[in-house]
Amino acid sequence: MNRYIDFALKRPILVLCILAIVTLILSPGMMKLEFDNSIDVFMPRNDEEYLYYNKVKEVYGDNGRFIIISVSDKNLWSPGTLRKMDELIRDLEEYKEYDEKKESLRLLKLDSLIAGGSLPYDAFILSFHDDPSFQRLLRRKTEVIFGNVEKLSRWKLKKLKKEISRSNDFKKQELIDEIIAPLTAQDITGKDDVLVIFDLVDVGDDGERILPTTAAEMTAFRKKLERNPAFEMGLYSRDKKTGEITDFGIIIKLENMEDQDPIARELFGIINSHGSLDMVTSGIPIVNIWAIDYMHNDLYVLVPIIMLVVMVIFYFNFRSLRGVILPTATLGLAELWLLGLMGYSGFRITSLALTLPPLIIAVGSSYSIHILNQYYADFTSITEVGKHEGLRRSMSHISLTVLLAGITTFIAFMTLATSQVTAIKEWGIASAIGVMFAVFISSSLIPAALSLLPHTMPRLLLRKDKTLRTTIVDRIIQLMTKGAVLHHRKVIVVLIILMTFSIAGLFRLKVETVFLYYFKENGPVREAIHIIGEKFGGGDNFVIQIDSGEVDGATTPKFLTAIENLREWLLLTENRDLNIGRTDSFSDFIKTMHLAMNNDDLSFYKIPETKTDIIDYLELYAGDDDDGNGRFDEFEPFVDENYQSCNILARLYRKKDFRVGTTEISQIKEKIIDHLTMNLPRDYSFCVTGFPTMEVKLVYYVVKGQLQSLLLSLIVVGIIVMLLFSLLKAGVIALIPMSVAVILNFGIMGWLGINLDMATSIIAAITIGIGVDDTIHFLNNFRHLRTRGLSIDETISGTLAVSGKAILFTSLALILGFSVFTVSNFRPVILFGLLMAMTMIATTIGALLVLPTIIKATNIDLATPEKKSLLYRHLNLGKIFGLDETDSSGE
Amino acid sequence: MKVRVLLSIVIVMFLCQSCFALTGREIMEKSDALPEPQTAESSAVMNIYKGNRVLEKEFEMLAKKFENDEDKILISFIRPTKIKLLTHSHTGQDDDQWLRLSSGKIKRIAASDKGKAFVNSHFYYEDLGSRNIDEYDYKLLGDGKAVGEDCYKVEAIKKEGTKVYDKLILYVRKSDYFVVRVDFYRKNKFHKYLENFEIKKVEGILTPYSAVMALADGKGKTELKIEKLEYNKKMKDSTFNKEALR
Repeated sequence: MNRYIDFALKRPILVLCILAIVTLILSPGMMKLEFDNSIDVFMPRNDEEYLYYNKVKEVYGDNGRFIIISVSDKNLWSPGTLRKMDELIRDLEEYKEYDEKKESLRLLKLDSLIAGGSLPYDAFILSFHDDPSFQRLLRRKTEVIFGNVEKLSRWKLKKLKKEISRSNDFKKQELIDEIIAPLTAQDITGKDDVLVIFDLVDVGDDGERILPTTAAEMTAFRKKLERNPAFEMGLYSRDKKTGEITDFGIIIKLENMEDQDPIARELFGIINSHGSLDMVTSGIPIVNIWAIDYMHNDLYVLVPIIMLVVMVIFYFNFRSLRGVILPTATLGLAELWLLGLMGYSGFRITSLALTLPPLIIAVGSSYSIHILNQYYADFTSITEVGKHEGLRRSMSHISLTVLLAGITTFIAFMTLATSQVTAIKEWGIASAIGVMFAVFISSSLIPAALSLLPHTMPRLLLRKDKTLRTTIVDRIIQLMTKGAVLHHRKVIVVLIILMTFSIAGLFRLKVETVFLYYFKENGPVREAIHIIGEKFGGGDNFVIQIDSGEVDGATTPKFLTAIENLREWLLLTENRDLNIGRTDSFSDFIKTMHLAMNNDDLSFYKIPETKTDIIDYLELYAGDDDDGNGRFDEFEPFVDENYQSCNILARLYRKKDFRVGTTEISQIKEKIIDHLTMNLPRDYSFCVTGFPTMEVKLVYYVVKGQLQSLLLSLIVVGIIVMLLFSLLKAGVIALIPMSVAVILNFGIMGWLGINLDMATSIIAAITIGIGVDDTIHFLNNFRHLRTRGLSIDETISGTLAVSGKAILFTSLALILGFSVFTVSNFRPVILFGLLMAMTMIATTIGALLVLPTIIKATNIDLATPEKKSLLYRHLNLGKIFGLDETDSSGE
Repeated sequence: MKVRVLLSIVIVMFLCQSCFALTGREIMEKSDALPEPQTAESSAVMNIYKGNRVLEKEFEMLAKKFENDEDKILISFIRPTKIKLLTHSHTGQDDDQWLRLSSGKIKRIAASDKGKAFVNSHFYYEDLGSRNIDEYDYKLLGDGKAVGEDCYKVEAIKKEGTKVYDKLILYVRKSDYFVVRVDFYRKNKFHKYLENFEIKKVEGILTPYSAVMALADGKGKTELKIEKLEYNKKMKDSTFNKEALR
């Protein structure tokens, strides 16, 4: 390290050039960063339940993630509303079935227009007057790219074509599995002994829908819609008081794919462009879009604002331009390097990885403040021995401590790389690399820059008599010193009380990974979910799979009756705590056929009594089987290819006034399992899965996994400190302030009712990151001063005067910096900001009060023992890092 | 012309006449003029290949020619269901179809979606109906090979009415004008094809004893095999009455 610092001081321009070149190489990688909020990144690939969930998705399609639209126009039954709805559905249908000929003709026409040069916008749109769907696509894309334009230049037309080709690529993939809507649905009737399969809205020979226009046609359409009981809360919804139909439902089911975000965005864009229709849109793909947008906003808007706030605090601390620019540049470069590297290496930004930039700000601030602070602390001695030599001594000493702190944090974070969960593993690796970037940049940039800059003390830091001003930071340090040295017993008593209080709070701590509660209560996301829940029973569902145990077993009356009994039980008033808003199953089709075969007599809307009837109905169903797997497309979500097992899709209604969080979902699942265990015929088996159950599983893998890793990190940190100081006591002591900070943090969360979720659980890891840093700085300085023959009290006081100041500066900067997160739209990010501030206070108290108090109370001497045990002789980390007897700080 | 796809196995017959420089229409007229039986009685097995499963269905079929070139066909399933389907084919208008369920209930199928699958097979209701030669425009595309035979390739595009398919490409065997293969195009894509095999002359009538309707993407097929066949056997008209379904 000494040699490196020497090099940085001798060749500062070269070092700065290297930093600039690496930044130029890495930062473009940021553009490649992708956001991922899918459940898959949080699930270990070998989890049995997750594997089963995936298997179910393979067999039955992805039934949990669909887009649901509620159309609630005032004039619902008017030709205008139906026309607008039809236009929306037509636009969506282009992504369901790709018409190669049509799309090629469109592109050819577009090419010919581009060849003709610039065009007035209206004339351009008008040239596609015979293709309204394409006109709408062009309008939408033009508005997105250029806003309101009157003229389209050739360049703009080319850009527009590029966007249209992008949409075309989506269309080619045919990523929409099904669009279920009143205008696209079919039904079957058997009235007057005539079996008719009919479209709710007639389709002409040309394949175009013939929308009802007259009052009589509208009434007929309404009658068709209301005829089949299965359509209620599926294709339409009624006002619970008046019984009037108030909403039409449109469900867009996507093909099973890992990353739905790109196609979901394209479709959401289409939906939003039909703004003249009064709609509410929800469903998991839409919620994910909101989440990713919020994450994007937090990353690209809030993080720079945090840096700005931190810069202001830097100025108040150092009162000089270099005091602002050098730490800020360190943070900035570390962020660019990390995010760039993540972009290049394909790491995805998950809701967990969103905490990485703040973490880098935290540790980067700490490192650079420590280094700069050391410079000002050693200002006089540097002046005395000469700038170069003085800087070499000062920077070597502090950079070594920063390196040690960095390496310990690096190893602590790397323990997370052992996690089975991809998101946590990636977080561990990325945070560890980020920490090392911050160490490298701070110990290169600051010494190199200081060597180039004139050696001056900012005037604002000096009093009239040219001695250093006593700041509020100094007063706090004096207070801490006093507490640790003179009142250590009282401090310990207060600490014990505080810990008891915090441990009690730990028991109140709730774990919550349900994504819904990440959004603000009255924000658009939760509002939409509540409306969809109220009108259509929910936007995501449990999948209850019942297996008959034999091929074709699902086609028996006994099996289907068991399914119907379960569905009935799920919706019983006495089972309102299950929060199931609607169920769908294979039995609906059989009941509909039975109704049709019995002259539409509603008393036959039930399971037939004989298997023969069911088999006949299946022979006659005559549905499409686009993928040729032996099931009609309509059956796919509900029954397997062998007709052996069936899915019941039970929509979870996330009510406004009733919390359906992780705990409640677990309880619902347990209640369903208990009921099935008791009531399902013995020869059938079952399984309850689906998106809500996967959300619950996240608790285990993300939060519990995170906490387990935290424990491992603590142990690793303890061992490293022990080996560094060749003292078991040092390792134990190092853990105390960090553990106090973590317990205090979780305790307060428990008392304040802040849930432990993906973002808040990561705070513990950040606490360790900061805590290790503070502790190592303190311990190293303490031992350094102690070896000079000072008493414990003097050593504590001296250590706090140097290390304490840097620790306090860092905390102040970060407390105010992270308060910016409170303006986020994402609840966990707001809480993350608040908790980060709390963590800063806790780690600061841990390092500045708890640590010296424990040292004072136990009279622990951190001097290296003369006789070392075999372990320390072979694993002498202190010697490796030049910390042991060979320490050459020069102070 | 009756280019009956499913029922071609038992009733579609074409006469062999050699000629030169024919148009598409002329080729199809020759094919249409092949001898047909007055009645046909057969039993057949249908194997439907879908996903990992093979669904086997067995049925008996009675067919009779009536006045005005109209046919009546009764399909009685033996397994796995006992459904019966009676079709009265009319020239120039929609067919009438009645269905008898295993339970004895009878329903008239008024407007079954012609593009939908028939008893879960790869045949559609459209394939069961009759096709009049004048309903299509024909174009000779040239020569081609199908089921190992030299054929004329004729494109047929429906002129009016419900269009389940955009176009058909018929492979007409040069030696006898018998249609050995049909390619079906739907939504501008090659959708599925029918191939006739084991074409034998029974009482002077060309008859395929085996046929395969397969999806173009290879995702499934339906094989049809005739187990027993008898032509021009005496049949009562009443056998084909709706009441006889009971």
